[in-house]
Amino acid sequence: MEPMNNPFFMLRDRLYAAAAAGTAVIAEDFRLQRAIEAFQPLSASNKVFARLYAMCAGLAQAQSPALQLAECIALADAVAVTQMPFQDARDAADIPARTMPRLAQMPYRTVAEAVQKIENGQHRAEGTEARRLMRDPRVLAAFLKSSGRRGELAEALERVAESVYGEALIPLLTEALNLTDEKASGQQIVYLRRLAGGDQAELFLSLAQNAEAPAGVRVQAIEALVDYPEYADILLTLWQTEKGKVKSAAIDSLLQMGSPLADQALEKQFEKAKDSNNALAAKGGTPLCCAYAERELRAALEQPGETLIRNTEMLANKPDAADLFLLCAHAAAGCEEQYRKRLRACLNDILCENLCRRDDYPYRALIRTLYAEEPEMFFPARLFLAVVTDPAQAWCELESEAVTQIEDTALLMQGISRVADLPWKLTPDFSKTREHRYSIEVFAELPKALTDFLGECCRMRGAVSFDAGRAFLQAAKNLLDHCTDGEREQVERCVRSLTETLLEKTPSAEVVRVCAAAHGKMAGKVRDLVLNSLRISKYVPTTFTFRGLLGDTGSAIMLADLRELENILPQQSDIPTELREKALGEVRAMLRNLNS
Amino acid sequence: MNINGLTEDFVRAAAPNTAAFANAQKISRTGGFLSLRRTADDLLIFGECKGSGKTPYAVSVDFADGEAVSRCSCPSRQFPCKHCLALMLEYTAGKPFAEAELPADIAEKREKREKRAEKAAKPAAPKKPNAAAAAKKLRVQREGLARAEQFAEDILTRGVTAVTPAACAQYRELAKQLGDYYLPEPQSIMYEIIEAAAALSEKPADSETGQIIALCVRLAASVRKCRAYIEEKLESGDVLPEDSVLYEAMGGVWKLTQLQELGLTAEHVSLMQLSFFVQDRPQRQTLTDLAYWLDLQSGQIVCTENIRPYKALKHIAAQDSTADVLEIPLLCRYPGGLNPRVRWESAEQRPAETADFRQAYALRAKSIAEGVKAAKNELKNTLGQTEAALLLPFDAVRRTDTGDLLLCCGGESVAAEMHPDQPHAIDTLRVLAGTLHGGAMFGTVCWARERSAMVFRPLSVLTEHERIIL
Repeated sequence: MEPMNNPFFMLRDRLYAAAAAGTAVIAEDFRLQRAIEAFQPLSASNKVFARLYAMCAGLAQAQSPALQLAECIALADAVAVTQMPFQDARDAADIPARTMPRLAQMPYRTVAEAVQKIENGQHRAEGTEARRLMRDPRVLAAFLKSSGRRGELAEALERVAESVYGEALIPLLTEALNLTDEKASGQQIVYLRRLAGGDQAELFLSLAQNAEAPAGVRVQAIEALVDYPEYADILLTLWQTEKGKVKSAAIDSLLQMGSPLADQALEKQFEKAKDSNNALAAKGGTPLCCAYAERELRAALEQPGETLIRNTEMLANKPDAADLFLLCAHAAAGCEEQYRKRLRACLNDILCENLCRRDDYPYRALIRTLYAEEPEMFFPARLFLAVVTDPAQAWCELESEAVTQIEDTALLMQGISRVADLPWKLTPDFSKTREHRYSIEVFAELPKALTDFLGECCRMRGAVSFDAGRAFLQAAKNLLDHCTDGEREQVERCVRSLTETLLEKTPSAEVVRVCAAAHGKMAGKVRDLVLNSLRISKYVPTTFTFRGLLGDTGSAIMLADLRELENILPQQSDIPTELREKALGEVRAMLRNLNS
Repeated sequence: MNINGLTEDFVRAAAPNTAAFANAQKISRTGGFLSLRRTADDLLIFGECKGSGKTPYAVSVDFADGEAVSRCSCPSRQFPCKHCLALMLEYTAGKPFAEAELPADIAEKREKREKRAEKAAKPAAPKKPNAAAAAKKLRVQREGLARAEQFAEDILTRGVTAVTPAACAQYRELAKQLGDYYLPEPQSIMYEIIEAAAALSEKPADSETGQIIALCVRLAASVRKCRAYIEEKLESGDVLPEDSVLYEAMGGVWKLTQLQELGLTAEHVSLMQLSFFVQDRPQRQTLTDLAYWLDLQSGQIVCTENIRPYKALKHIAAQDSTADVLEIPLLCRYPGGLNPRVRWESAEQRPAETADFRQAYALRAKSIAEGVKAAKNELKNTLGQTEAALLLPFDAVRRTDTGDLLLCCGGESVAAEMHPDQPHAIDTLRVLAGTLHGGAMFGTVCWARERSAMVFRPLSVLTEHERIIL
């Protein structure tokens, strides 16, 4: 029986519709009546159909049409189940045979937890357990589905998968691409690009051109074609014929490629200044983009304001734009302080971003050139370059500026912490990816490079802002949290030194805590915290602070420090009397707490 | 077993849930114990653990009976509590436990436990079933069925798409009253219907209304059959529960002793687990650890259900999958159809061997058609299972041009779809498909109303050498 147009199935559909609408109106349901009439000839074929027909025919007159309708549906469903075909006649192809390493089968709870964390990007793959888990096909399937994510955890998981499955991952990844889900992101292509490189060019090409594939998948495939200048003409065709995200991705890739076809495509469009043109011009370093950028920047330079700030974005991806950078720097010199800081930040941001390109050598030269001309203006980018290329020497090389520009250094640390939002434990392989600003070649050799760098920071002279202090402290905490046992001694030594300096310059309870975490000597720390807080930030630590530090110092040291403070505070004439007395009050209150 | 058998895996398995284990790890890591002691005979570890109050908790784990007996003075109703788990973790971490005498209170508890065990070992006098109480209950249930029927009739008269919020409120009140009539199962179905109707979108799809209608039909059929069942029992005077699905359809809960008395048992059964997952039923506010097992002797596929209401999640231990074969001296079977629920009091576990896989593999259906026929016989019953668990043969897994998978055997093929409670299984099958060269696939067959076809939802693969859970 063919389900769709068979009187039985049509009757069944009408019975359901009657239940949805309600039997209160069943007498007027002429569609149901017609379906019953059409079913009548079939009712002669067997007893079950006959019974069904009789029940349906009597619906309107039944004592309880609703309950009778329920019985009709129950019977119709039972018949439908027996009649329902299972054979799926669609054309289907064999799946290519493959071999895989020996699989593991982990307990359900272990797998369920791992799969959930992999889907949320929170799975921490460590040790031999990670490899065993990855051998479970359920975990592998979850990994493939969510591969292509950014981040240290995701990449650690990729390394585990690669070590277990090797090249077998490549066909699995291509099959994991979901071409039927409109919302599919195609993020697997990001990983495939890293993993398989040049071997997948044809796949990327076919996906880019596949009009049936989800937009997300096509966009990723088009981005992957950046590495293949021989397909520039296809990208041009896509830009000319497609719409929306696919169209934008095509021109972006052409620009990133530096293809002359990009200029050909945009020539007419760039005759007029528009925000959308600015965004495009920022993406490439083709002659047209450079000319457009220069034109707009020079126009904005005539009266430096918000337009100039916005237009600096077009300096990205242009290694030969030193003149324009310098023009902006000179323009900034004559502006008020706040605007100058903003412009300086924008210019340096772009220079640092440039270093995230695959081929960043031209951009290194650009930074050096600019720094030679305007060292103060371009110090942040120069420092970043130094840290990226030779972190051990970075501080020495730039010491004379760095110690007076500690705020820039701190901002750099903050930028690394904020943007990367990653622990410092990165392996050199992590630098294969270039998506994360700051997070990659910075401190390639960890933790040594970072500890050396922080160690040099300990020699900072002059005042330091609390923001800067917090940035350094966060870096120290990251190091402590994520170093291995073998690295701990070196890291703790560095952190102890840093906290000594920070306690002098930016005293806070958190500094003391981090010192304790690094097994620093705690004797005298509370005393120094109180005295330095009073002197530098005019802040009075309270009993709340002392109680919070008790776990770190222990009662004996706390008692000793507080007693010493009780004796010496009255003699600190450089501290205003009011503050001294307040502090003394808090010290005495805590002493009473401890003694009780 | 004694304390020397303690391992972290043991402690993890003993934990009622992952949160308890994590909390125990935290206590151990942060030095929560003020004292750690053990007896010289290695049968007891005990100590004092810091709690939220002033007085530390007295914690102990006793192996005097050969298994871990946890005791703690904390107010938690979890068993074992996080403090007992932490004490065990302290031991597995190699922390020093000072030797000490057996505390008097533990000695007393051991004595009481021994006496209880002696009493339990004595065969209990058979309890005489109370026929009068059973009859009274049946009459009360009959009254309640009338209300359930009134509800179904009202919904279908009004139309499932016309259920207003005010009506839902009234219906909820009606469903609540059903609790007074010993009808928890019809009550649960009513709640499901009410909540599904309340959640209908403004222009609901056929699949949404179809689901509610199917529930109403099920409820009406259940009422009709249960009423006839009750009438028959009251008339005949045979009022005690018998081998019938209608006992559970009214919400009855079988005791093992009842099943044993009815002869619903099998001796010396070997079970191999074919699938395990957790079903979440928000409408019923429960999580169920559902496992399917293959009886290696009879070839029947049975299931176990460990139902954990949301409110009691902390107190009922969650189960986990197993790769072992269970040897069960006495298996009790619930009345049911193709895949009845089973329970047992005790079982021994042993690793699965090649002979077990071969035997299991030999028990697969002879063809996809044969398997589906058996499924249809079950699915056509209005009060039967909504999905039938089967072991189907396959030569290959193939893929259509839209990416769908087909299970193929001989000239037959059936669509493989996602199981709603195990959505990842189909992804795993996709990953493994290229490595499979035939075998048997375990899964559930159900009727996809919207597609007007029977579909197969794969859950695991079985060959002569292994079982792979998807």
